Amino acid sequence: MQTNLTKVGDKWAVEVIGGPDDETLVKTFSGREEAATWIRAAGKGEVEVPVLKPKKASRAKPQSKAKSVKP
Amino acid sequence: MPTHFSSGVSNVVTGNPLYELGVLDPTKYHTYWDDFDTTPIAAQWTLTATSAGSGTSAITVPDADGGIARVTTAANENDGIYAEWISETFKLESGKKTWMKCRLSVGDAVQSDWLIGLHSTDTTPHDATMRYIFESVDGSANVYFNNDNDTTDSDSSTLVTLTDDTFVTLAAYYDGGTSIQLFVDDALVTTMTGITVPAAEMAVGFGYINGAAGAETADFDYIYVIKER
Repeated sequence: MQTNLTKVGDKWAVEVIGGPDDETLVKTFSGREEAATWIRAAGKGEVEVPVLKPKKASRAKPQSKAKSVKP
Repeated sequence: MPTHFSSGVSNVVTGNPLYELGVLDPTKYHTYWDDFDTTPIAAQWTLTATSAGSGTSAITVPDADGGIARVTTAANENDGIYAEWISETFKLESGKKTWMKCRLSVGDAVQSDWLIGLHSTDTTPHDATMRYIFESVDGSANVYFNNDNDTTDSDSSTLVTLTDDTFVTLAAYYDGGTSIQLFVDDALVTTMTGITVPAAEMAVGFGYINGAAGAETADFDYIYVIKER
């Protein structure tokens, strides 16, 4: 789990990144100290680490049916 | 038996002034290597020691094979010492690979704050404006890598959980793009992605402070930083 802490407006956003096949998750905090404390606690296993959802596999477009040709 | 290149070896192209030189051109890389055979002194390092408790926080080089910078702390919580190179001489740059490797052992893996790596000069380097460091903070023996470019503060997952008085080797490889590979005892543990490295010069730095009362020691065996020019 990689975390990226960034200021967004007047909030602090923690982006949680897993493997390349996982969707990222963003948690926001009102203060940097609060966000940093959460990151440290998550690293120590003191708070529940978010389970990242797998990225949705891109679906291949269904092939269009061939038009039937009347004899 | 080693392979012998009796005429020498070269890493330069035809026309280079060092073309006939039989050793590799070291100017292709900016290299910092300290095996700590000599004590970090104030003429070369900014040393920030805190000694509120009994004793004096200091760095010494004891009699030990391999060379070790030994941090000894005074006896209060938050006593200890940070050393940073007196100038900021490394700037990570896109398109230029950078390697960093170090070896250390800490007296109290849980009750301590320590770091080693590159950071902008700051007497409280855990809060330096820009950081490219391995670190661990008080209350946990977990080691992680921290990249802070003054906009985004990124932590890796836990790389290793330290044990008291046990050496560990840590290494980072920046690919010149947006990835940092992280190694423990020469094995790849994880890769940070989407990273923007700090855009200004940083100093080599290391240090250890107590997370609880009682004098402690930490041994920094070496640090090696190499960047492509």
